[in-house]
Amino acid sequence: MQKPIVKTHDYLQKRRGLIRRNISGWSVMLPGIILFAFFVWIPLLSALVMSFTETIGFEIQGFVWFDNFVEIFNDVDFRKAFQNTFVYLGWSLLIGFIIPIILGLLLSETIHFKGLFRIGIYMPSAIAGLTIAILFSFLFDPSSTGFLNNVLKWLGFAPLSWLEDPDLVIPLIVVTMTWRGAGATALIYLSAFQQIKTNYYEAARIDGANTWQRIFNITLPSILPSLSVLFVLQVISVMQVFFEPLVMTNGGGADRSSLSMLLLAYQYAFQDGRADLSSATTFVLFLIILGLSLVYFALVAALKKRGYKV
Amino acid sequence: MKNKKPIFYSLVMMFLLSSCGPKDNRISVAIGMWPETQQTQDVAMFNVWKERFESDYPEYKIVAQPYQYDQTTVAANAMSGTLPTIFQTYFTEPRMLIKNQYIRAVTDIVQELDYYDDMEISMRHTLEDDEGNLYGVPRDGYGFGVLMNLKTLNFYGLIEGDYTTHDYQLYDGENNPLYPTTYQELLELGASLSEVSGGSVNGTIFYSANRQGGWLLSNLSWAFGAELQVEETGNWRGNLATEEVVNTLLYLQDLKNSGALPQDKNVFTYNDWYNYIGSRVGFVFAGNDVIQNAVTQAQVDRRDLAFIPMPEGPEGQYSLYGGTPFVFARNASDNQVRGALKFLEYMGRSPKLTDNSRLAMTEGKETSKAKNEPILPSIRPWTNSDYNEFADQLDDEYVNINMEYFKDFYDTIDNLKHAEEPYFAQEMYDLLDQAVLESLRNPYRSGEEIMNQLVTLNSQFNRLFD
Repeated sequence: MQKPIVKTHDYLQKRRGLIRRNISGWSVMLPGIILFAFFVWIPLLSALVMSFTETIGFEIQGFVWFDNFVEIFNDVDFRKAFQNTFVYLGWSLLIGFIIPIILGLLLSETIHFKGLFRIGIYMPSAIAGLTIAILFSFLFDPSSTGFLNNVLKWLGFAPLSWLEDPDLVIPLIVVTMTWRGAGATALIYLSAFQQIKTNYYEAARIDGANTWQRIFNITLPSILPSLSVLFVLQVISVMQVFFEPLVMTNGGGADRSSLSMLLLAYQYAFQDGRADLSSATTFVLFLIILGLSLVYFALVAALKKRGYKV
Repeated sequence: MKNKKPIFYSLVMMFLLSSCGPKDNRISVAIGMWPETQQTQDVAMFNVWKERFESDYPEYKIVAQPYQYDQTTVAANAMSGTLPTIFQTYFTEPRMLIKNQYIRAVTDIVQELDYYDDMEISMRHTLEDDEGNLYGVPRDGYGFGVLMNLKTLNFYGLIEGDYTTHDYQLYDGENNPLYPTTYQELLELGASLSEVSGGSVNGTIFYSANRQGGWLLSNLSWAFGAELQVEETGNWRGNLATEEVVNTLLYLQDLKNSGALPQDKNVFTYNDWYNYIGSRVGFVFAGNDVIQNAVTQAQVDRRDLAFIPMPEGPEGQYSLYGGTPFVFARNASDNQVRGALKFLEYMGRSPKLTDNSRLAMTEGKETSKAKNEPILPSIRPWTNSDYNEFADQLDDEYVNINMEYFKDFYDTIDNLKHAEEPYFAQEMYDLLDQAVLESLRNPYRSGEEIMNQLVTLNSQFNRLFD
């Protein structure tokens, strides 16, 4: 009967020692944990609870379980926003994912004025996103006084409706987002490119590999870890597109063609006073992102099993 | 080690002393319509009113809390209890504010102060919930009309007169209006302006975003015979999918096809009108309460402005009408509300005609005059004759626009006024925005295509009533 008591005593001693040893670490982390809990976990949990309740303003009136989800899935606007969010994703992968790789590649090949180009492509990331959205709204102004329409006129082409055209609006918003974010991402790729050992390329050249063969057989496989991380970050980021459609298309555009799920959540909460529907929408968005992230991790695991360095 | 006790005790004493002093037991009333600091003349005027009020009611303390109403932040302000005791909002907002319990009912206190029966009845209805509880008091009335830039129209030969002397002819020898009185005439004027200016100036713009397209369309649709909401066996329903609404949208398409509207851009918001009235369009649809923006924002000479009644449609003539309200924070106590309502008297905004209110009303006009703002008559929110007579007297003395170009609007508004639809108006405008924008983007679509869209929108709208 004595043994367990000694064991518990030892355990407590060890535990106290562990806390005492790590007290400074905990002190450093505590403010961050408190802030993170206050600004992330608590709102996240509140939104989760609220999505299953009925609210007046932001005050919970009672549980309605899945009624809010039924209501949003019956809402034409939600279905449109749901669809648009994936259109954003598609265009973003086509434009926003590839351009930074190309930029990074070009930068790594640049010999002269490398620093200048680096600063140049990073500069848009230093500008507030809202400012950029307003700036591009002027560029894409569909009236005859719009900047790009004047350029088209000067080149002898007919003017375009730009952001008023439901088929163009999402690609144009993605271009705006890419213009802002591509530089920072390109620098991450540049750093990945620079870590590739030059003797791989030298060996490939000796074996007679051309540029494309070097890119596909050395460069891209070498940056696969960066590519995969940035891919998942890109997906998460574009699923949460919000202020660009809000500012550039007055909250959704013609035929709700630019309405995103997060923008709709904002409109439910602040225009319609429906915090419950807003929470349900953000919860669905959370599930989609979670689902896509799980698919991504499954893919990475499968690739690793086959011997890829991901 | 030095003795640190004296320093410690000194700090404690300083802290205790700093928390002493006379305690302010007055009832604090935060005024949201207090002007911003940079509006120095207005701030000075409000400070005078505050001084007078606090001297007459020493139990109250007036606190300046300039607050610009914003639909996106009002929820956060209401939930955190940071809304001013009294603040101004748009007349389209009270229903949403009431539904979400962001503002409080003030029926008993308004009755106690004898303001209730003097309130213009249609404005009062826009501030009540379904049980008849009152949630605010009107600042002034508001009606939709057509604001014309006479200089532009005269320059292109569409209005007789001489813009160099700001002298225009809006009536013929028999006093019949020469300005457009029907929607068809308005369309023709707009189309002519686009034609004679070679497309550099359009007739007008039609709002199509931020729920303002639906807002304007609802006004037009009444003139085409539409009833956008109807009561069926005791329940209200949306009634958007009707021939009358289709005809209104066909008219809108005619406006576009005739060239009366800009051909290259379709998305406009209500704020755009003062970016366009200066030199890009001949007329705009606007409320009488914002006309001064043509002078202050668009730099149009006030002598070149005319404000005419909304035109007549095939089924009547209507002007969207409401009151710009003052409402009260939900956490305001009865005493605070009482103080805020009494302060309105010192601002000249209550129905009580006293020496203080007379003085404030006069000072308000004097300040506007000193700022060289256009001074227009207002639509009265109160019905008591002594108040209105004094307000008329001030108008005669201070109005600095040519009333000949405005009088028909003010003479007819009482007959044309039509309150906004009673239920879910904002949601309805949001849906109608889509119909407006689609008609502007695709102005050749048929009545059948329009009806198909309206059927979808109406079924969406009716889910709110279910």
